[in-house]
Amino acid sequence: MLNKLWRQRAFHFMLIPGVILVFIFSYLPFYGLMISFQDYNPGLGFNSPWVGMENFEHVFQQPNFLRTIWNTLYMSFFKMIGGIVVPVIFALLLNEVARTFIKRTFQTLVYLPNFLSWVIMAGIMIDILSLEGIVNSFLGLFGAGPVSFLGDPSIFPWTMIVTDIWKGFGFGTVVYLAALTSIDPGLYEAAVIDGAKRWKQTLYITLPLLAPTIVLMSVLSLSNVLNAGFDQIFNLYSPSVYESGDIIDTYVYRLGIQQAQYSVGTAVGLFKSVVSCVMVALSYFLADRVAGYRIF
Amino acid sequence: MNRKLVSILLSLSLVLALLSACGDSANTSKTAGSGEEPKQATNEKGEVDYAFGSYEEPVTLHTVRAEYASAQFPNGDNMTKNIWTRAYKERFNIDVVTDWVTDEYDTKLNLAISSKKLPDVFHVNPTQLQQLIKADMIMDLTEVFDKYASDRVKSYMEADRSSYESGMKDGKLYGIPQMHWGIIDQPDYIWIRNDWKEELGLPDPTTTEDIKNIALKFKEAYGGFGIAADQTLDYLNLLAIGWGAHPDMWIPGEDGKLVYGTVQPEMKAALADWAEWYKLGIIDPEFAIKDFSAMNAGVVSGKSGIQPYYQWWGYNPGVDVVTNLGKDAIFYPYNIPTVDGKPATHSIFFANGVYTVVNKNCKNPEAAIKLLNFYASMLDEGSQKEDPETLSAFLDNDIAHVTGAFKIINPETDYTQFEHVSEALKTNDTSKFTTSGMWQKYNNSVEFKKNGTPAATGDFLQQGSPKPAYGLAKSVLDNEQYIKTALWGAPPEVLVKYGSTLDDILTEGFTKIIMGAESIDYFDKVVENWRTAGGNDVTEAVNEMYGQPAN
Repeated sequence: MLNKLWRQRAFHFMLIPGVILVFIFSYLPFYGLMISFQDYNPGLGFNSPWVGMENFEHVFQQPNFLRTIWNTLYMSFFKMIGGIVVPVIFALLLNEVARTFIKRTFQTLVYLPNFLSWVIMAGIMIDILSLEGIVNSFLGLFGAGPVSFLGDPSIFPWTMIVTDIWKGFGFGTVVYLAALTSIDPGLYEAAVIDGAKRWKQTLYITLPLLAPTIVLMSVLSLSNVLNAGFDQIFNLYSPSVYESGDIIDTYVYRLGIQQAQYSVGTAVGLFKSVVSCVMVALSYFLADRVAGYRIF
Repeated sequence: MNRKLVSILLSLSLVLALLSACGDSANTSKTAGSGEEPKQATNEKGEVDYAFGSYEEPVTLHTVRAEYASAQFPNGDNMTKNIWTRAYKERFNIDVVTDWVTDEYDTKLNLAISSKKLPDVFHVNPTQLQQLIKADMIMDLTEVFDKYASDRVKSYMEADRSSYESGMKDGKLYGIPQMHWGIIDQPDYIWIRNDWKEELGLPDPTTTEDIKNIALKFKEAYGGFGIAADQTLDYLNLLAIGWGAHPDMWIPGEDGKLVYGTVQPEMKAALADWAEWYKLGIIDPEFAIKDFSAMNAGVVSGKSGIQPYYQWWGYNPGVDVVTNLGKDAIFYPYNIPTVDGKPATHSIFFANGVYTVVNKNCKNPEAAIKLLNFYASMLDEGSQKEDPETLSAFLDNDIAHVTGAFKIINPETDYTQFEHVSEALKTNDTSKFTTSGMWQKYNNSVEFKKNGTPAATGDFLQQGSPKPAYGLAKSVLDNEQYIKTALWGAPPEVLVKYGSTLDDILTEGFTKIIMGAESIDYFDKVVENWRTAGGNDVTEAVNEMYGQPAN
């Protein structure tokens, strides 16, 4: 053991800066979690009075809190599914394009929205999706009545899901395209000799070899199961769609952060972290069992 | 093995060094407590001039500031270095050092409070004031204020004693309220586009039914939608007093206990009518997803001719309306009409939102008071004491608003100002003007009448038009057609703890009723939800803090 450490000492030294950064920015703040069990007063700092689980009770007793959990899970689930399926399909399609120039151009184009913040995107979306916006004008051509994409509670979650996938799928596409280039061309040549057509090649070579990447991306995204996209929803929602569009983060923002109620905000943050931690552990276990894939 | 140990030690010492560095910087801001009374200039009689005397030795005050984006500084000046800070140095020998400027003031200040890096003098909101008092971080200013505050500043406190008392705890003054322009700016109006109204020959509205008819006629003749509103319902709610409802107010109920105005039966009546209006298409069909700027964009683009709004309509969106649609398209304010045509009872809220406080460790708390005296004297007496250019440099282009913690306003400013301005506009006699504000309102009113300059719209509609907003407000105040909310000061902690979620329940439910997704009977269910979600707790807390003792 020590011998091995000694042999790899150069690597361990190189690790030190990273370890220190992680320690300072990810582990030291754990200390601050205590304020979720306090009645925090900025002036008293960490010496604020202890109140036990009161902050958690306060949040969970809110009659509207449960629906925000449901909304969060609903939207993040479909965002996650779409966030895996859409980029995989798009990467596969793009990979079939023969001309490198066109391929690169499309890759860049779909990646671009990723770099715009939701504050800017929301302004554009509100215009596009308004009753007199271009989407409704287009629907009008087919005689469909104007749809209130942002004001109708039954449609709002899907507006969020679709626009979020649209904005984010470029990133996944780039990752999967990279994974595709690492597949040994020899395998395809062998398959062609065996008489496999494009579809069979995709089914029996590309997808199985892409599976580890897909599993990795899914496991990573599972840690976000309780983040349904604060930036996006906060900039697009309104009281008329709270029933289906209010998520944990936006609710807590209105409950606590807006009024500088740090204890409540921290309590919910802790709750979310615990759930996310369980989700990651669970997905790691499942990935190992079902797909036989281990990240570590 | 050795190497490993060394590396662990090294990384540990690094962490320790970092930690101690943090500790150091936190401590440096703590300076010694108050010392001797510093030497100050004397007046003609040889007495120490406490209120305005300059220091012999320079005194340094650290402060922090919120960005004030609409201030237009002359070249080279900014929030931290401007005519005010130079005057502090020249006239009082006080160096005001700004530690930071931010447009997220409350958040940044909360961080500063928790890391104990407070400046000497700063301004806080009511919640922060209570927290700081509890944490024993700010100074008891009772004596300093008594000794150093000018008579003028003291008279402000007398003029609005309840705001003054809201800065106290157990009879000791901790936060000096920065006050407000006066409750004359609080009554609300229904603003109606004048060229449309005249073209159709419509009478002034006196009942809620009249609003409906005007809106219908406007829609018929000019398209668009009648009444502008937004998703918070804040603007639609301004009309509620027409039905005798007082949303957001805490008022005595039938049994004398305080109740929340938004959940009273009068509100139900208002909602029932609004639901009908929405169905008729005279409330913006997209109000539920529009925010403040989207609502105003509808008015500026000429889609709406009726807007429930505050007295400052002329500043925003008024300026844009005149720029975009021309001088004739201005809206005039009308008293909010009622169901039965009798005058409405207006809602008056607690107006003081900001307090100036002094760090417990500040050496020269009196310096802060001197600067407040200076501010008050510039605003109230500036036009007698300074030459016009100097005064303009201090006040115009919103430079008057950049002083941050060193700001205090005469709570009778607007009332007196309006009296003088409207009198002068009638008689053309400006000799009685005492403040630069009066000159500004007067000049802009004349300017708008003559040239229709968009930038002058605000002052014109507030004070100088044939139907000035303040004219209506003045009669509301003079005839006492208003009630004050009982929550006169900082909100109880429980209320803060619910954030906006309790009001959200109501807004969400009311939106559904107005849009017709639920019938009017849903109101009772919404109120019930509100009660169980915490409305009952909050009502109790408000009663405990502000209610009359049980008889």
